[in-house]
Amino acid sequence: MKSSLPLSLRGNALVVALMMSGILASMAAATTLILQKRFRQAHQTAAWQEAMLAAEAGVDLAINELRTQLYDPGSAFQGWETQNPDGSLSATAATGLVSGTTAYYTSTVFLRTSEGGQRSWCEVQIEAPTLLIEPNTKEQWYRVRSLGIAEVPGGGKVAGDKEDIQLRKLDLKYNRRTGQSVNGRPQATRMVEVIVKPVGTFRLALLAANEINMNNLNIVVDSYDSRDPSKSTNAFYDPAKRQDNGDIATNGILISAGSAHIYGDAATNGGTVLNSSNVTGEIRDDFFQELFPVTAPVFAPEAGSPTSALSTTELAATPVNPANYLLSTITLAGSEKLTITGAADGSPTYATVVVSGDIKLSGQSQIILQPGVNLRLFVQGNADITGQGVSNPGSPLQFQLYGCDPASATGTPTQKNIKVAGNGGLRACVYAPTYDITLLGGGVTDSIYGSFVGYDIGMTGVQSVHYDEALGSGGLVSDYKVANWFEDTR
Amino acid sequence: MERDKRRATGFTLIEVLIASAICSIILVGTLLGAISLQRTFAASEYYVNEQAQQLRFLDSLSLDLRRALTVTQSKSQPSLAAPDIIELTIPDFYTVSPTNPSQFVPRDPTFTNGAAVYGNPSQKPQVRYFVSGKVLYRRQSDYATGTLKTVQKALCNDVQAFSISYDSAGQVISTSVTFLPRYRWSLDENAGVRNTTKTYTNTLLRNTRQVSSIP
Repeated sequence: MKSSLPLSLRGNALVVALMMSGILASMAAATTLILQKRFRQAHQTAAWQEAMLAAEAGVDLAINELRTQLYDPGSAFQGWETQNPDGSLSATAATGLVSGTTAYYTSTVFLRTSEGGQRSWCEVQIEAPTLLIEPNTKEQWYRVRSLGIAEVPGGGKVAGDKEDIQLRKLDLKYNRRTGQSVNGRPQATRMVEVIVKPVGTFRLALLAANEINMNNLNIVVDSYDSRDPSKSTNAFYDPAKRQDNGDIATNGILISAGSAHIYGDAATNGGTVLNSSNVTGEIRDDFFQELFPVTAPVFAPEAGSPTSALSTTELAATPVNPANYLLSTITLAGSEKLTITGAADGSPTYATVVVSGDIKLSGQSQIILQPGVNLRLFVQGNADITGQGVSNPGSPLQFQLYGCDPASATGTPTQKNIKVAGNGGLRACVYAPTYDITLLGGGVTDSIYGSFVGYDIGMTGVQSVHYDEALGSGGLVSDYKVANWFEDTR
Repeated sequence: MERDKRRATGFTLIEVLIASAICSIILVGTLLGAISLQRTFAASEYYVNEQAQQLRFLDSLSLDLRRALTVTQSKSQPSLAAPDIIELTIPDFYTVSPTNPSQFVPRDPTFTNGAAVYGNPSQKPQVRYFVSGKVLYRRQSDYATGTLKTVQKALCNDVQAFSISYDSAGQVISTSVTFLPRYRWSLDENAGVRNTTKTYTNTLLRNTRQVSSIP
């Protein structure tokens, strides 16, 4: 096509067109740069938050392994490594961490398939340092350090204001913790340190695997704290200092509260709490707690100790390390007594008694704990501790009764029974998740103190149950929970 | 020759005036459009900036709340209708590195009354969020260096109000923050274009979970 413009003007049109194109391109580039920075900032923020999710997932993984040690020891710590004294790593034993050792684990990589599509994972270590052995209970606490890592899309370029960069520390070129290059894969890392503490078996006033029945009397369930003078008097229950942590719960679907006055929460596993008008706390239906089976400890009994208690018998408790006794049965009648003797000055002494058969007390017979005695009684048969019941002058935690049922540990319970008389104010903790527990009292004035875990729990003649909140840190370890949580923001 | 003469003559005055008028109209229209675009773009950018600031505040506060031991709120002036100060204590986690005094390292916890405690329980670091003018500040006071040290930083601007409330027996903190965007070319600062934006977040206080009675 032939232009109508003179030759001298044709170049000007080209220059003008190029200038306009240049201006438009510059505007587009400036807009794109601004938008790109904003997109990059949004992705970096998202990755930073994702790293926290990964870090907390690592904490969950660690606590899960600790729990697995309790319920399925053969499966615990699979895929974890432990550092040996020479610095090398070897597979962690399922039996758990020995004090002074540390186990390591790197999770599988989780790939998000949505926008961004970046990878995230965690690096976890569980440490069992000797400095975290609780001085009173001698129980091992654990330190978990979990590093959550999420890759950052958009390249290794800084985005956001100075305040953003100070808040959300990113490893765009180098890993700030190791100093090594990230090899072109920018990442957000966040470190969480938690202290994990063991939790005892007696965390609730009443806990049933199946059902709680409180229909017999207008029962009161409340709590006190023997450690706190404002919540107890001389470490004992004081009705004027009543607390509302007398919680009851079931893994089943039914609590028959019988209009009992529950000063605490009542929780079922998707079920109902009947006649719950007097429950002061929450009524929940989202409860479940793993109830681990108890197996009797295996030991050599004290030399010369009796092999059964068929009449008045004395067993001596010892300081520091418990004295061990293995009895085939305890059968007492009339005024016969089984006395666990302690120190003359009432200082703490300990005894562990395993009864391979049944326990049966009748008439005026009684189990007596002398002052300072701490008794753990494991029974593998039925237990009928009626008669005069148990005389325990100390804390409920000083008389712990465990119902052992290894044959049905993970299956259907064999419906063994534990009956405990509350005459005179029973102080006891009972953990027998495959046993039906019946608490017997003397009528409208009778109270019992402690914590009770069974398959079905029923009460007859018991007026009130007082839960000592200090029991939550006693008994066999049944779980772990986070005691301290901190994000290391360095 | 006639043809060359015609080609050499210019536009008539009328033609030039008409062309100028048309060009002026186009230029004015283009200019107004460009100004409008600029204002829209600036407003959008300010809005995005405000959002980034909101997110920064909520991320910062959530980070502190997660590791908080205690959380309280108060008023800087008794006459205020709502609290405008959030104060937290956090574990005394850091200490000066024994090998490099310019660095901080985590310290080991010790047992005190049956609890694992970091550092000196009576010298817990304190973190305070407060608004002064329209600027929201974070102030931290701690003894990590051995003596009391306070660091205050401005986190974001244009804050109109913020508040917290407690849920789930005090274990969850719900935070809301209201921003009043500032548009550079808004002719009237009180015009409707300056509608406030409010953002919410919920944070579980990790260190108070053990308070719960039902596990």
